Amino acid sequence: MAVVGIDLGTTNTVVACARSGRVHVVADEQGRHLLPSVVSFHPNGEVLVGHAARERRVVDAKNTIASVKRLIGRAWDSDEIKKSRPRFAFELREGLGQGPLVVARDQTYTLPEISAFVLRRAKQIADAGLGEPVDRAVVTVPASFNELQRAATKVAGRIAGLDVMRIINEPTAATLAYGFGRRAKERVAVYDFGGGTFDCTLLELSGNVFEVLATAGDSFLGGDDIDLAIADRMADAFLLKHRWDPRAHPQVFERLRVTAEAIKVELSTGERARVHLRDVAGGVGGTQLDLAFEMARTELDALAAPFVQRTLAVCEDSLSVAGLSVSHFDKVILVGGSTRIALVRQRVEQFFGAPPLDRVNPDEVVAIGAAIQAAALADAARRRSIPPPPTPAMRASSPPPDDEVTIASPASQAIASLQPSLAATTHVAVAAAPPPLPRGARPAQATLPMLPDVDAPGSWRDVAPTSPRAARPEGDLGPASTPVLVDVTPRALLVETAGGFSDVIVPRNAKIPCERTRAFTTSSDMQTGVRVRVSQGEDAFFDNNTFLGELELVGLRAGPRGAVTIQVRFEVDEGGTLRVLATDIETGMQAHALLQLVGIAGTQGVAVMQARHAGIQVR
Amino acid sequence: MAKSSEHIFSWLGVLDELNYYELFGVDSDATADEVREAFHAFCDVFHPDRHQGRTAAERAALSSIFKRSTEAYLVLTDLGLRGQYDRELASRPTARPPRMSHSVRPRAPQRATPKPIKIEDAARTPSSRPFARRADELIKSGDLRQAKLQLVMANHLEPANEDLKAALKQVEAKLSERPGP
Repeated sequence: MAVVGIDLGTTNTVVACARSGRVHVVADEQGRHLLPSVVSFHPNGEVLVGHAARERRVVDAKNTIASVKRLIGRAWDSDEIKKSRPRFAFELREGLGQGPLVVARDQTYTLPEISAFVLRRAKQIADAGLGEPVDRAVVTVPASFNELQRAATKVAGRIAGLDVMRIINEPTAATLAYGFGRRAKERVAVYDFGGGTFDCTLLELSGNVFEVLATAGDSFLGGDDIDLAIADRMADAFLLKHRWDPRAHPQVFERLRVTAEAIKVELSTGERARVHLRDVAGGVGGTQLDLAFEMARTELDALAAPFVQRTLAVCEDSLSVAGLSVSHFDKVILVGGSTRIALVRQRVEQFFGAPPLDRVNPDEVVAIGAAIQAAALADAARRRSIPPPPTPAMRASSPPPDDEVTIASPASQAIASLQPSLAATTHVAVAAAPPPLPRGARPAQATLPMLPDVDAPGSWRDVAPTSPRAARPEGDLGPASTPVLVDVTPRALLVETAGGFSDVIVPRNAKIPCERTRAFTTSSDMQTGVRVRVSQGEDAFFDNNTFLGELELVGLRAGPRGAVTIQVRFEVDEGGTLRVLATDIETGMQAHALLQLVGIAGTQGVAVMQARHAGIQVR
Repeated sequence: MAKSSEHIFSWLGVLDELNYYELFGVDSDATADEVREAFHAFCDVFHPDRHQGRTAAERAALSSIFKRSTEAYLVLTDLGLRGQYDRELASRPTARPPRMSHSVRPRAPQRATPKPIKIEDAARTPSSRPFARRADELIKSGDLRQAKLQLVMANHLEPANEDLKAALKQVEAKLSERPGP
C-alpha cells in the first residue's frame, strides 16, 4: 500500500509520491502531470474526469462541473455562492442543511461528491503509476480554508476511498518541498496565487522544523477572477458588435471563459494574443456570428492589477500579524499557476524587494510537499526518543491544595508510568523504594530507569542533544531527518456571548496543537442546560463569522444564575481539527459534549455517498 | 527501548510543576531568539507527528506535553504576556507555576446561554432597565458609540451590577477594536 500527497486544486489536481528517498509527481497513462479538476457527466452514464472532462466544457457546459473548490464547505446563503451561481454554467440547488448541490443529468450531487470524482481519478492514476494500490493520502487545502471547508475536503477523500491522514495548507506544503533537506535557517514568505484562492504564509525554517509564523488569505480570489474579467471584456466586444450578450447564455459564455484562460496563458509570455471564435451565436437569418478578439499584455495587466493589489494587501496583513516587515525575509516562494502572470511576478518582486524563487514548478510544488508529509506520517515505526524531563524548581515546601496532584518526585515516575491514563490526575505517593510491579508489566531493565538525581540541575536539552547525529534513534530510521510542521489556526475560534458578540477562545495564528479553556456560568435561575455556539472568524459580531456549530450541555444542577460553572475547552489537534468539550465540573459530574459541524455529513451520509459512488464508473 | 515511554509519563507527571522556562530549558532572561530556538528543539523531539508509532496512551500524553509548549511559546514570545507571567511567577515562588489559560489572563466567567441574552435581562432595577434595553437595540443596529453611552447610564443607576459592568467593558473593548465611523 502506498501513500501519496494530493494537491486538489481549483483548476488542476496533482498527485505525488515519496518513495525510497525520492519524491516525484505521478504522471497519467499519457505522461501528463496535471489532472484538470473538472468532472463531466456524459450522456452514456459515464463520469469523465480531467482532460476529457475539460474538453466537454465547451460542448456540454451544463453537465460539466469545474471550480467546485470555490464553493466547497460554504453555506447556500453565503456571499460566495450567491456571487458564483450566475457565473457557473451548471445548476446549483439548495440541499439539506444549507449545503449546495450540483445538478447534472437530473441527478443532484453534493460538492464533496464532485471532488471525490476528481480524487478517485487521481487515485486511479497513482495506483497505475506506482504499481500498487494507494490507500492513504495527505490532501492540501488553501491556508485560508475554514473548518467547514477542510471537513468537506476530508469527506471527499473518504467518499473516494482514501484515508485522509492529514489536511495540510498548500503554502506550507510548498515550503516543505522547497526547504526539505536544506537544513537551512531562514525565513521565507510563500505567495500562493492559484485558480481560486490566494494565500500568503510566512514561515521560519530551522533544520527540520518548519514553523508557520503567520498566514493570511482570501479564499475567493484567484486566476478564475482574471479569466472572468477577460471573458467579460470579450462579451462586451461581442455585444457592441452584434447587439447580443453572450453572458445571457451560459454555454456561450463558458466558451468565452475557456478562451479567456488561453489568452491569459498566452500573454504570460507573449505581448499580444489574438483569437477568432467561429459560430459564437446565430445571427438574423441563420447567419453565424464570429468573434475576433485581440488583447495586449498591457490590457491584461490593467485588468489583473486590482486583483494583484488585493493579494498584496493580504501579504501586508500576514506581515502585520507576524509583527515583521519584508526585510526580515530571506526568500519569496511562488506557488500556483497565477504566479506565471508577468504582472504578478513584477509586483511581488517590488513588494518583497527580492526576485521571487521558482526553482520548483509552481504547479507541482504543493503536491510534492504533501507527498513528503505523507511519507513522514505513514511510517508507523517513527518514534523519536524522549529524554527524561527536567526537575522542577523545589516548590514542594507548601502543601499542595487538595484538588491538585501531589508533586511527584522523579523517583515515583516509574510507578506513574505504569498507570498512564491516570498519571496526571492520581495521587502518587512518594515511595522510598519502588513497590513490586504487576507481573509482566515491564522487563527488569525498564523498571529501573536511569532517572536524573532529584537535585540535578540543568534542562532536558542538556540530557538530550537535539542535533540529529547525537540523538539516539529508537530502533528506527533517524526520525530527525524528516521534517516537522508546526502550523497555525488560520482564523480565530469564537463563542457567542451576551449581546451577540464574539469572544475569542483560540486566536488567529495560534500554534497548533493547542488547547484553551474558558469558564462560563449559567445566565438564568434554575437553568439546567447551556448551549455553546461556535464560529470561526475575526468579526466582533458573532453572526458575521462562519458558524461552525453548537453544542448543548444538559442535566446541569438547577441553581440560581451564575451558580453553576461550565468549563468549555477548545482543542485543536496537530491536523487542525477542532474539538469543543463542555464540562460541568461543579457538580463533580463530567459531561462532555462534542461539537457537530454544520452541513457536514455524518458517517452515515458518507456511507450513502460512498455506495452511490461505487456504482459509477470514472474515466 | 521502553525508556522513552517511561520518560513520556515522567514528563506528564511534572508538567504542571514546570514553569514555561523550565519546560524549554531556557533562562528566565532568555531572548526571543533563544526561546524560539528552544521551541524548535522541543518541536523536533515532542511534536506528535514525530511519534506516529506510539500507543494511544503515549500519544495522548505527548499531545498534552506538546500543547503546553505551544502555550509557553505564545507567552514567552509576547512581551506583554511574558511580563505578566514573570510577575505572577515572582509572586508565588513556592506555588505551582501559573498557566496562561488559568491565571495569566484572568477573565470574569462569562455567559453561555440558550440564546444570545439581552443586556436588558441583566438589569435588575426599573431605572436601569430602559437604558439597558436601548443599549441592546443600538448594539443590534451596530451603533456601539451610542450603546456605550446607554450602558454608562445603566451602570450609573445600578452601580453594583457586575453584569452591566461587564457589558460596558465588552462594548468598550469592541469599540477600540473597530473604530466606528
